[in-house]
Order: sequence, then C-alpha cells, then structure tokens
Amino acid sequence: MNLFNSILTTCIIVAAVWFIALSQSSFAFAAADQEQKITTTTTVKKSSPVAPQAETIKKAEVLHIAGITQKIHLVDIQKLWQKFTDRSTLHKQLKQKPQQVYVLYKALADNYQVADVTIGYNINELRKFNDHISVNTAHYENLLPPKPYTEQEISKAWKKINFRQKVDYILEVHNLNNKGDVTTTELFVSYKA
Amino acid sequence: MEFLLEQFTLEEVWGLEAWISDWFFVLAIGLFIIECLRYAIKKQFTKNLFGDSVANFVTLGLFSFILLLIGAAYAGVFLYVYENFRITELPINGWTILCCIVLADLAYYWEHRFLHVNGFGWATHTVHHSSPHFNISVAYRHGPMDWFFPLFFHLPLALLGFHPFMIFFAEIIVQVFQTLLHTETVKKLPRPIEAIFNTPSHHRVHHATNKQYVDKNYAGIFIIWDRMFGTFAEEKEPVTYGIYPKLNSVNPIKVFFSGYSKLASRLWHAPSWSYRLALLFRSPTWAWKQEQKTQK
Repeated sequence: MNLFNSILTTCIIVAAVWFIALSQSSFAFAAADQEQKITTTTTVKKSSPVAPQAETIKKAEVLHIAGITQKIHLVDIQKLWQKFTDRSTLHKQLKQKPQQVYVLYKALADNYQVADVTIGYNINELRKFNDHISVNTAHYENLLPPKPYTEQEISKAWKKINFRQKVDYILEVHNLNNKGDVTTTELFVSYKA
Repeated sequence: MEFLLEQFTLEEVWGLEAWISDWFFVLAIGLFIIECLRYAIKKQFTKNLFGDSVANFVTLGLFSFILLLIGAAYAGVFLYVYENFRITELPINGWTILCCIVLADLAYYWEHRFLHVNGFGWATHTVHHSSPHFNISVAYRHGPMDWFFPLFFHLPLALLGFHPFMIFFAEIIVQVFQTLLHTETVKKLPRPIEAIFNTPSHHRVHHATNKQYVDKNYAGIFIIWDRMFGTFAEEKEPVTYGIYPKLNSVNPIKVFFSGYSKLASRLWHAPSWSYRLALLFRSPTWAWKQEQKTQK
C-alpha cells in the first residue's frame, strides 16, 4: 500500500474506532433496558371506563429516581447531600456526565420539618441501580422556573406551597453542566387528590 | 461486557497508569536477570553486554530527568487542547480506554515510522537502535528527544474527546507491551498471535541491520498495521543488531547524545544549505549513502 492510501486507511480506521467509542452509550442503554424491571410504587389514575380517547385518558408520566433515601429533619439536608456525594458506587454507574440531580421530599410530617428525602439520578442515566423510587409527574405545580437560585431563594419558594392541601411530594430538579455544576434549579409540588 | 461501561475517575486512571508503570519496571528487571542468567549459561555474557546494559539504564535515568522537567508542560498542552478544542467528550470507562489503546497504537505506528524516515527524528531514535545487543534493557535505551514526537501524533486523540489521562494511560500500555518484545529468549509464538500482535520475532526484525529488514515492523502492539501498510517483514534468517555506522561505545553519555552529535557534525560539514535541509528531512539511509559516496 502506498503512503497516500496508508494515510487514507488510517483516517478510516480512526473514524471507525471513534464511532464505536461514541456509540457506546446507545448500546449500553439498550442492554440496560433488557435487564431492568421497573415497578411503580404509585398507581396510575384512569378516566372513566369508556372507549379510550386521547383527551380523557392521560398516560401517567412517571419519574424513577435511584439514589440515597433517608428520613431526615430538613435542617440536616446537607448531611444527606454529603452522603450522596460519597456514594461512589452510585456515581460509577452513570452512563455519562449526569444532566440532572433530583431531590424528592415525600411523606412530609405535618410540621414540614421531617420527610423521606431521596437524592438521586433518573434511572435512565444509570446502567445499574439497586432500589429506586417512582413518582407520578403527571400533575404538579411549578413553584420555581428553571433559573439559578441561592439556597435561601429555594427555601423561600417553599412558602408558596399551599399547605391547606395535602402534599404528595416536593421535587427539586438541579440541572447540571458538563463539569457537574448546578446551572439552574426547578421546584415542583404535587398535591394529593 | 457491562463492566467495560463502568466509569472511572481521573484519579483512578492516573493511579492505574502509575501502578502499571512502576510494577512493570520491577517485572522487567526480573526478566532481565533471567536473560542474563541465560546468557551466562550460554557463555555469552560479555563485558560489552554488561556495559551496554548499564548504559541502557543510565539513558533511562537521563530521559526520566528530562521528563521531570517538561512533563507538566507536556501534560498541559494535552489538557489545554482537550478543554478548549475537543469536538466531543467520551466517558472514562473501560470501553473508551480500549478504543483509546487501539488508536494510540495506530498513532505510535505512524510516529515510529516518522522517526525512521527523517534525520531529525532519527537522531533521537537511533539511540534506541544503536545497541548491538537485544535484551530487555535495550527497551529502556532512550534518546534525548524521545518525549517530543509522541505529542504531535497523540494530540489528535484529545481533539476527538479522549481525556488526556486516558491517552497517557494508553501510551503507557503501548510502551510496556513493547518492553517485553526486546528479547532473544522467545523465538516464535503461535501463528494466530504472530499474525495479529507484535512479537519478539517481529521486533528482532525491526532492530536488524539485515538489508531486507531495515525500516520494517514499526508496530507497537498490533502488527496488523505493518501488514496493512506494507511495512511488514517476517523473521526468516538470523539477525544482526545495531546501526550504520556502528556505535562502538558503552559510555552512556556518548550513547545518549550520539544521534544529535552525529547530526550536528553532518550539518556542520554539509556542502550546502539544501544538503543541510535534506539531512533534517530526508531518510537517514540517504545521509549514510551520501557519506559512503564521499568516502569512496
């Protein structure tokens, strides 16, 4: 093979191997789909039993979060964040740099001082996970649109919650950049029917 | 295969590279001792072999000293290019590292071929080829600019999105693999291995001064590159090692700087500027042939 053809062949080989490296997330995701069994912990609401119509039956949107869950006083949230950061076995399962980190507050006490808190990733971003928690995201109210906020601003937004209604869950969504820094945060609340 | 997708931290990649590099050196010393015992049993352990081996390790020390001075800058260039110019970002996992090793090996093939076909590159690489012996210690016989040329051939990997720490790791794998090839102890391996991988037999051909073996078998890990690009030769007859003209010295300083001092001498005595340019850019074989002509 002459020099020109050798260099051309080299470029083709480099492109092929690079393409294989780039494509790994798609076949990793396909393999994970075959293995994982998703079970929902919340029931899906259905409309009255008539012939299905797109506007009367809403397919429930469900968010599955895998991470660290603990019943804590909300003032101790930073300790849970530290535990999450230290959970290297979880972070190693990420397919690539995570796009979001979720903080889910469920089973809130009447005084809203204690809750079951989960900090984690969407299971779609993980190759393997042990337990996960699922939330129905079909109905929620947006308390904070996606913007950068300070911790005080996020805490202040909790005051927008309508405490006369029973809260099903409160969800913080932290959107991340390539370096893992939080760029924007959103806050949602979902009330029980 | 899922374990290949498990992510590593940068610290883990760096740590693994250092661990392999350090412990492989220990292994290489052990293998070298076995080679020396073999030479002793065959009554081939000469003063020249001993002196040559000591010189090899001294050149390693000199090369390592240079690396200490420029290593941070070298890594800095890679990191700067990666942070500012990469066209994508690849995850740091086993799968990406395997792809990086394949591409680093291909880059090494071209870098190695480049070092053989121009005077400036050959001036550092000739140090490695200048030994008349062939054993594990020869693998550590380095020239003063051996650190310089890999930069240009491996930097494109950073542009493609391979993190520099993965590239350095892949480079180490390519280098430690080749260390094992510098031996006369192993004759030929099973044919499937000889067909795909670089082997001691293939690398003896590369170090040979036999006319049909000159400038052949540039591979690091995979001999398939040489087979593909027409630079392969199979070991079919006993080889003699070294360079032309021979370097009859075991003085490590003379050995280390022999290539560039020879180049400097040729440049100084060159009859014209075009000849000087040719000395830098044309094959060292051309320079040697010109000298043979003038001596006649």
